[in-house]
Amino acid sequence: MNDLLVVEGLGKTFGSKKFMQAEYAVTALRDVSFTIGEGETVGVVGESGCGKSTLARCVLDLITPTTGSVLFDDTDLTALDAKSKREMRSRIQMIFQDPYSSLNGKRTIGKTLAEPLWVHEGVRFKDALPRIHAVLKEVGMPISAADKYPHEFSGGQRQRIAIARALILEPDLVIADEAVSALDVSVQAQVLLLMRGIQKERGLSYLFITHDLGVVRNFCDRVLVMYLGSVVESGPVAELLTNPKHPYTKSLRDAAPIPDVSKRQSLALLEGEIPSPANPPSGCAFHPRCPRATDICRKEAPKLEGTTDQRMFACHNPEP
Amino acid sequence: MTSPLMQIEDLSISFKIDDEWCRAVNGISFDIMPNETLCIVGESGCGKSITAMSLMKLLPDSAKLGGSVMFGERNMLSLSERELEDVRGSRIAMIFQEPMTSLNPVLTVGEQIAEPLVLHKGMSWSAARREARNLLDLVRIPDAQKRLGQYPHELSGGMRQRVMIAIGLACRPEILIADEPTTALDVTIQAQVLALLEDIRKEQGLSIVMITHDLGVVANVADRVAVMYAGEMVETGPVEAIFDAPSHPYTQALLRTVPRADAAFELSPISGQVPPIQAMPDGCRFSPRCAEEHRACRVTPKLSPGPHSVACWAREGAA
Repeated sequence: MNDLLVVEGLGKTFGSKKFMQAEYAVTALRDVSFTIGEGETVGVVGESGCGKSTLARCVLDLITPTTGSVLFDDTDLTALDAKSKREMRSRIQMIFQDPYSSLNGKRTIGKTLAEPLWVHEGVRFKDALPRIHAVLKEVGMPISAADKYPHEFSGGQRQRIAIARALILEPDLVIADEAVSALDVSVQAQVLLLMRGIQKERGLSYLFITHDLGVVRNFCDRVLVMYLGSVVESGPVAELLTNPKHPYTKSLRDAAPIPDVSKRQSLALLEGEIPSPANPPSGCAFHPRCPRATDICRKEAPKLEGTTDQRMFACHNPEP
Repeated sequence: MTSPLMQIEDLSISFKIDDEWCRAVNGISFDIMPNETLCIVGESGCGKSITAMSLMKLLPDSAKLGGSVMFGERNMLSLSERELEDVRGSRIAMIFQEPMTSLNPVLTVGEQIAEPLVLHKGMSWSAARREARNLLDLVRIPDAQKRLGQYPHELSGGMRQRVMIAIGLACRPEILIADEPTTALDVTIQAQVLALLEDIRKEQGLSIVMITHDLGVVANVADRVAVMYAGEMVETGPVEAIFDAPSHPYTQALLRTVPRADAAFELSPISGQVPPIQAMPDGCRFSPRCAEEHRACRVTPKLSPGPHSVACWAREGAA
């Protein structure tokens, strides 16, 4: 499998230094590296505030990263001028969580789907219609949807339309930021199956950001677990969830409720909450909540290491 | 045999849409037993939340209510607003999904917890404030004294939900209705809040009615489960029965749509969606999406008798 996306040492620090004000800096993303192969689905999981969405936006350069590089198809996106960046961007598309706010309510679906074609390829609305109809069919919507407005559709249908908008430029990589989180389970399953079918058909790759380990287990090939801006563990999904090495991955897994009464347990409790990235703990960022923390964890941040590049974790005292 | 705390009989809730009365909840009956956790589960738009609201008669005047909600000797649905005020927040309390919007942003946490104690129990503000401190300890908020003086925006989502629970518990209610209390929270925080609710239920001996769409949560906290679809109750029973031997085609289908973190399996979605209340199908409301068929599907099935009951013609014992 060829690598479509190679992210190296990506970091983002938000901050300001203003006259007469205290300087502040928040490191939202710290030294993140990973790859996505052609036709592969890589998941990113973690609690709110762990940097998942910042990562997605940095990959797309919607937020300019402070450090690191994003190689897409062997081209460094961070080093491109505005024009070539725009061209590259047509090959990476994004789907957002809330289909109510990510579609323009004053435009028909047809106009919304035509816009990327006009911006990137200069195709006029009339000439775009066959492609609009084709992509609507592909996501399981009737072509009559093109003349309607977003409020006429349910949440699941709107998410299908958002997927259609992402697909119309025939991207190689689709970044989905909590794309199914707002949907009911029955509709969520419909949308996941649709996305998987499209992947089979087109051979595209997904960067799939979610907080739901159940979705990760059933949809992704590999997964990155993030905590406070860093990747703490990564690897193939089944292996990583069956035998987590990082105590955070284990806690996250054990907190996910399983719809099975025979597996009923007091959901293993992770104490406390994610700390503020403006004031991160010393050493390993997870140590104040970690059941396995020792002295070294308080002093020294562990490095992300692994026996193979498939399976990596950053922990001084990994789970057996 | 203990007698139920609350008995809901043939409850229906209708709203007028385009001059026509539409039944959002269509004649449901269930009991709430003392010291149990009852989970009401179903997709969005199936009537879970308005059912919960109606238990306290917290519905707009435009809603037409039928049936009865017996709480002790009294029918909640026929009480006056004044009489309801004595019950709401004091004997039955409610917590909501979004703790940020249900807390008052301009009052401190302490004032908000103390308020029901002053209103319902006639406590002085200073006594109520002392009790508020105890309640913060009860919901395990560290550093309670300092938190009392803070405003909701100074708290994290998990802490806000704990404050909501403290407010709900202030007057030691007999029933706590929790409408999607953990949906907006991260899984780790969700686990903390669910464990807290479970501990409090045991300590205080109250009953919890939890509304949720998350079957994983249901499997972990419920004693009994009621599955709703399109304003009707399609299956009820002990939690083991619902998960180990689901009977209604909707319950079975719903369980197959949940992605599990412990195993990969082929998700099979339910085709279509919950119908809007203006266009409910005749007879069994699930029939247009159902994989099974029975010659009687055009007639509304009733819940079968027994502890594990199901409303489906294709199942034995259905009436």
